[in-house]
Amino acid sequence: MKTYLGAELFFESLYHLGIRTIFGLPGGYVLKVYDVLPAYSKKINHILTRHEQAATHMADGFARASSLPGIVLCTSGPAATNTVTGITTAYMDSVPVLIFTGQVPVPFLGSDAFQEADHIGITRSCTKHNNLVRKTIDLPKAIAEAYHISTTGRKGPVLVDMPKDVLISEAEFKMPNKIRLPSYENDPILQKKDFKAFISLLKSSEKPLLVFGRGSCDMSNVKNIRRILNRFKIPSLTSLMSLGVLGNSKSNFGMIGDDGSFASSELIKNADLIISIGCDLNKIIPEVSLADKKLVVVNIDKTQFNYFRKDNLNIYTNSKFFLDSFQDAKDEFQFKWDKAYLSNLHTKNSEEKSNIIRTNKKALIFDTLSSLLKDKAIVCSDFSYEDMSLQQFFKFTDYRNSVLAGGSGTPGYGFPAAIGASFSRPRSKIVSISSGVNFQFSMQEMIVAKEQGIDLSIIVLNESNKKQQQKAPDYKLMGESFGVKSFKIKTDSNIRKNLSKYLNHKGLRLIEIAV
Amino acid sequence: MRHILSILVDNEPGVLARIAGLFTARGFNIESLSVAETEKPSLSKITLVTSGDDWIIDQIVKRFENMINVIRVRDFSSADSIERELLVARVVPTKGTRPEVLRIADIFKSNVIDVGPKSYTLELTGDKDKLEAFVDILKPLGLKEITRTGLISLPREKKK
Repeated sequence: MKTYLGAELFFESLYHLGIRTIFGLPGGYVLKVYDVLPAYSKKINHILTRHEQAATHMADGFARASSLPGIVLCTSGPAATNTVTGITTAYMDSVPVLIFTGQVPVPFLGSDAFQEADHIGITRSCTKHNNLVRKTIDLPKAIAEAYHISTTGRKGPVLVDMPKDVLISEAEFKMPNKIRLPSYENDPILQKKDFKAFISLLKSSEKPLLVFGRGSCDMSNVKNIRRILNRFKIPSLTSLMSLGVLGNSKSNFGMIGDDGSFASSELIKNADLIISIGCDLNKIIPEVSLADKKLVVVNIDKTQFNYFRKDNLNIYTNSKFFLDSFQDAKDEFQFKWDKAYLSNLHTKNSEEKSNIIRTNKKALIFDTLSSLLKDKAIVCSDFSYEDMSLQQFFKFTDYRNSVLAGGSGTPGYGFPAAIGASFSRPRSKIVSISSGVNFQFSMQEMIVAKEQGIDLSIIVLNESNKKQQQKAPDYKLMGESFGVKSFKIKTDSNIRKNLSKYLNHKGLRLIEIAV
Repeated sequence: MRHILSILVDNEPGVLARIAGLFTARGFNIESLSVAETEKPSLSKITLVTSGDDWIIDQIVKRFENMINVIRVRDFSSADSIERELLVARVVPTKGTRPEVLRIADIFKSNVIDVGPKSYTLELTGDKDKLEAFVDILKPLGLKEITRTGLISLPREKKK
């Protein structure tokens, strides 16, 4: 039998699993992997980043903009600890990311060796699973399991720790045909009695309301969701993490949450049954309390059940089974939503939006961008908590186009995520939009974008003014020093014209907007 | 409320830390803990006693179930179950109480597992109340040190 180095097994396994792009940075204990990389350069595209946190965000953006998992490779110690923010971001928003870290050789584990850190211990609470590989022969199996765990069920980041001696020893390439994880239930089917209970609840309901979360965001669900909305005309909301999943539907009343749309709190107030599909209700603080509402919670993660009350109808299943049965339901329903009331809500929604745009310059910029880009562009952004709601000023008709660090609200996420997205969706128009302060968290990655020749608009909102002590760098000069075409514009009556001009440039460009 | 959780896990390094980590994250104390291999060497059973709000314990149990290394979780607090714990106590009797210590041991059906010129070492199995009663009685008689294994538990056979 042919034997391979552990480092070669790493690439063989990734290639076998269909992975073609990885983001990473070399270092001591993974040098062997980088030694063999040239031999695999035709099979696997390695993107050299300048910071491990950015590498993790890139993999995260890569995954959110597509249906593929993002891959990170880095060394031990400081490199691995740098990835923690990125891992937490992916964990909070259930994004499939695989992180491969180098580690000191097995005999030296726990000896405080050079660049050693306890990666497994550090990332235990921010990964879906993590694993230390102790033998070279086990490496392909560990990678296959990590891939499986990360991309099924409630998705999430998985870390695989690879000690140096595992990478430099030889073994056969043995990929398991089938993943056996006896306790891991990744695809719970819909129980008939649960669905019956749901239908009878829906029949007795006069004013039901659907709330779609990240868990409903799957390409295979899009058609079913459209059909459900067309057939039953139930008013629907999305969470921040699933903007766009409802497409162009008239039943879309915007986003739920205390930063959500005007209609969302109105609808919750009036609804008598709220059906949450794949939505993490723990992270959403609705303006109107859900306390006296009848709730149906459809989720693949049992921890989402019984959180508020015991009398919810909890349906433990994959959202795809639920939506598939729902769109195919034979029953007819009589709901009592008033048509005039609902269309009035749409008007109120847009009125409220234009009110905010009048007073909030950032909202104006978002709105202008949205009307220029239509619904075709991938929008990657990172904002502080108060500005997070700005994402809803974009019109999204595809959930993969909204790339935003939701649960973590990570500063410096948007720009590297945009670089990542450009590798999974190279033909799409991509815009990264950050405040100046947040952009400074990861601006070093401009050199990566430059190196890779990415077509990307980096929009930086410079919010500093003379009254504030905080000094802002000149982002235009900064961009130019990285060799990036840079422009500076003001938020005035010409903003639309200027933005449209610069957005139509090809290649990498930085647009600084003074707010 | 007091909960007894019986958790069947993969017998691998780091699994116990995963379980314990969830308690740390919630600020819960583990009152007692015992871990050992089961009839299958690839599996371990963790018996854990804790107390807290039912809904938080419910969340913790669900999080355990989400872990890849956790095979099964059972909450014995509401079920009819048998509980046992082993206690080893060293007693250095005060003057004239040597016979009394042995009499108490006899009443509790405790065995003397070691004896020295100054001390007795006693073992006792039973449930929590029995062990605590034993300790209370020995205290004035020169109890120096005790070690307890932590509670282990199995559900009773279901009555038909």
